[in-house]
Amino acid sequence: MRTQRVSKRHQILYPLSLNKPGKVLVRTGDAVSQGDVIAETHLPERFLVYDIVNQLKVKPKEVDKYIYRLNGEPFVAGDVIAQKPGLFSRLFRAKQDGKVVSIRDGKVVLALGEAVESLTAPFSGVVSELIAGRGAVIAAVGAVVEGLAGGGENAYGEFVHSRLEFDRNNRLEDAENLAGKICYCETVGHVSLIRALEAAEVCGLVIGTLEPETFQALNASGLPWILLSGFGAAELDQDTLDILLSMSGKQVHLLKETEGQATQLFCPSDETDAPNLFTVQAESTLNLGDRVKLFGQPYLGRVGEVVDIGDENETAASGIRYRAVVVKLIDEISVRVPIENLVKLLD
Amino acid sequence: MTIQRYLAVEIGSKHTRAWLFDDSNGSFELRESAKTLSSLKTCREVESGARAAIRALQNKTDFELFAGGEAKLNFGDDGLSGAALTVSAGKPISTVLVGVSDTYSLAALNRLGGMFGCDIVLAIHQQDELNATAQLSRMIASDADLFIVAGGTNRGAIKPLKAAVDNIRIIYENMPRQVKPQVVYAGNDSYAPDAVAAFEGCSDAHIAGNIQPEMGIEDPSVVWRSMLRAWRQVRLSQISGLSEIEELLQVKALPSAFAVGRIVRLLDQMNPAGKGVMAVDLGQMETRLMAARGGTLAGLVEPFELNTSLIEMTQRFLSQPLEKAGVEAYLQNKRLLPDFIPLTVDDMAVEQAFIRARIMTALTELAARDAGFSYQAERGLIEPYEPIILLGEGLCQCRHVGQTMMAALDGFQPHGVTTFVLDQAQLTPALGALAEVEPMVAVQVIDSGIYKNLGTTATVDSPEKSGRKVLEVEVDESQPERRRLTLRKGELKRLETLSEDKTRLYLSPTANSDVGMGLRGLGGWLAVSNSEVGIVIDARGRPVELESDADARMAQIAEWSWELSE
Repeated sequence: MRTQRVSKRHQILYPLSLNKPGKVLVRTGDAVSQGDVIAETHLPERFLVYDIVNQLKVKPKEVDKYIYRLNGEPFVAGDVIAQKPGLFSRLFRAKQDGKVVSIRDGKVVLALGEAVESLTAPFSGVVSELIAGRGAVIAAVGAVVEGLAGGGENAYGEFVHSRLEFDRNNRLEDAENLAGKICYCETVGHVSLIRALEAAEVCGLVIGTLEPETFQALNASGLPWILLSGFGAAELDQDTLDILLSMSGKQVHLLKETEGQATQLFCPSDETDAPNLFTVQAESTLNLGDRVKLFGQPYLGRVGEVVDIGDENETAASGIRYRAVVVKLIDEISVRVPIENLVKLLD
Repeated sequence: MTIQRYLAVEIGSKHTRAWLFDDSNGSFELRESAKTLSSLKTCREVESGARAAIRALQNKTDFELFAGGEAKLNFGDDGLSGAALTVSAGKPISTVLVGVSDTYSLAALNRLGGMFGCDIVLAIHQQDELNATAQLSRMIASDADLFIVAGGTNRGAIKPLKAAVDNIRIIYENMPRQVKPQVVYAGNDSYAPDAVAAFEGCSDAHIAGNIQPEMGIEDPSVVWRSMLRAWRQVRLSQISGLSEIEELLQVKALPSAFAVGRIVRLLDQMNPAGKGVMAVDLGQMETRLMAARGGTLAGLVEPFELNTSLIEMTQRFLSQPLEKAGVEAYLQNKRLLPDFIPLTVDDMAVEQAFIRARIMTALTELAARDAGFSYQAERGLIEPYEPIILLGEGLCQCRHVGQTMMAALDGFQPHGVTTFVLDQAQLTPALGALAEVEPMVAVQVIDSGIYKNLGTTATVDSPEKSGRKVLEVEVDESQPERRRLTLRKGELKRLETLSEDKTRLYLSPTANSDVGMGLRGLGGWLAVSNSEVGIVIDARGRPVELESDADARMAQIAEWSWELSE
């Protein structure tokens, strides 16, 4: 079943991995700081296809005798790759260091320059595991709030709660103080708010609920964001709000989704010991006493505790038969919902 | 007599299913089936989920599927005779298409890629204005898992193909990658030996026959084997535990949609009426559509995106008064929690409308790719397909099968006479995969009535105005008295099939109305087997005329749905 972690203190294990194989520059147990290079890969900066026959005006059959380099041979800037001697000599000289990667049918293909793709640590932590040839898993302790969805790249900045309202002149209140900060919005209901936040140079958004019409604009904006409760009208539960309030004014990280990790808001603490190491919660099964978040109207985003898991199927108003889980909400109301409509909250 | 037993496993993104078929009663039948949650999401591997499904199947039967603990399966004279494995899990394969021309080779490759669920990240042809360096740069930037090259007729020019293959070879040899890309060559066969040589016979290059051997002739079937090899290599590298399951089952994995395509082609060949056969599978994250007619298969595997068009189409078919924002919020939330069960009438109304919108979108997309597939958004599915097989959990969760049939009828908007059947056990991919191992399994299991016959529809296409008479029907139910009905434009009528024998109808359209008998005004007898919903006479016209007023439209849709579900 789907889970969502909302925790004041949790050890995150964040995998960082290159898209292409490369060299891992850290070792297990290394302490890394934010921005340290974890792994890198070296690639040709660009390729160049040079048509010897047409450019040097030579006969296709004779092309080999004008090429001065072998396939796979490296060269430096200024080296002659091919030359047609004579009174009106023509030559092809490399403009960058590189390597010949193909000589075929009168064409020579050069790999030129070197581009380095680096993978840097998004936050300070300890290398807990190496991913052979690709990267490493970074461990760190802090407060964590996972999102149900998210977008954009990783972001880092001071976490602020702002009313995000427009003043009489239709300007975003407090806009001048939002630059470079990660901002909590209870709901994003209008595209104009996204435009205003972009203009205020906010570096990330933590969103309670999102109106569907703003979804495309948010994705198109390129702003890093995470969504906590879903689409439509819902209130954020008090526990999550408390954790968000405790992050106020602190430096936080918005971390994008990676393999096996949901998008999350992470506020590192100075502690190094790992909590919950020996009290791992069963994540994929639902038990009595578990805290869950409800999906579907009219209970979207409401949080409660599982008090009973039924054995027999029930029939919903829609006609669908389902196995009911009884959830007692904070206000003592009990509701019967299918397990499929619940998100298990992990502490 | 030795009993033959066959095991089939399907690995989906949500569930892993296993089926056991045997011929203990003389012909092959489904003996038992089991379903478990896929381990792909929770454990990021598929092996434990597949083993759990086989174990669950074993617990339901008195037959030992495993031998030697759970290390291997019980193959042999007294055990399993064979197995099959299909996979629908996994993200679309990022693919680069390289053709000689935009109009011919690229269009053919687009159709081929669509059938295998390829995500076309780049399509380039040798007649565009890009120079060789620019083409190479774009292909490198695509970072694709699969390259498909085609172009030229047999014994035609090979120079453009040489350039394309050379570029791919440079990428293959020089760009570092966790897993090397797969290359499928389906062009001029004169260059095929050189294409093999270019990749030095490595196992990542798959040389097929020419997809367009002559001008105006396209034969994608000559590329299927190579595409299957490439697809499998990509999936083995992407899905952890898949190779272990292949080893356990002693079989190579097949794409589920391709396996469904095999059944569709088989039924098309067996179809005495000469109509085509179609299957639509509404999966959680993608739609799979396979249509066969006269031995030709057209197909599409495509993840659906919640774009404005899909949401507006859903809104149009709502039977409850819901705001667009509410519909969109429901569908977006469903993406966050794909297993979500619609509890309320409103939620179910969105689900039902969404089925219609997804079918229409898939048909439109297939028609855009394949000019030979005759579907028009304004007129519906023009050429007859019978049966139309419905798969997918969304189609099985309706309160009444009439709702499923209504959603399918609105989604396809077929012309003439057709029958909708529902694959409740979702076993069509399994049968398609087993058809390669033992063809009789598929044939006999289908004959055993594994599909739920929802009903037969006869559509009246007429230019008449709403409310005018378009059809008279005489119903022969082997009773002394025959029932007589008159259908007016805009009506939808359901006739229950009560008798065990076939019900016979005489359709007598008005002079300018068409019921699919070959000519406007031409009527004829229609014999219909017993079915869940019965016979549906659809005189609503094509396209289905929906009221422009939202309230009236909702009432109209609810009334039609009621007609089929009461």
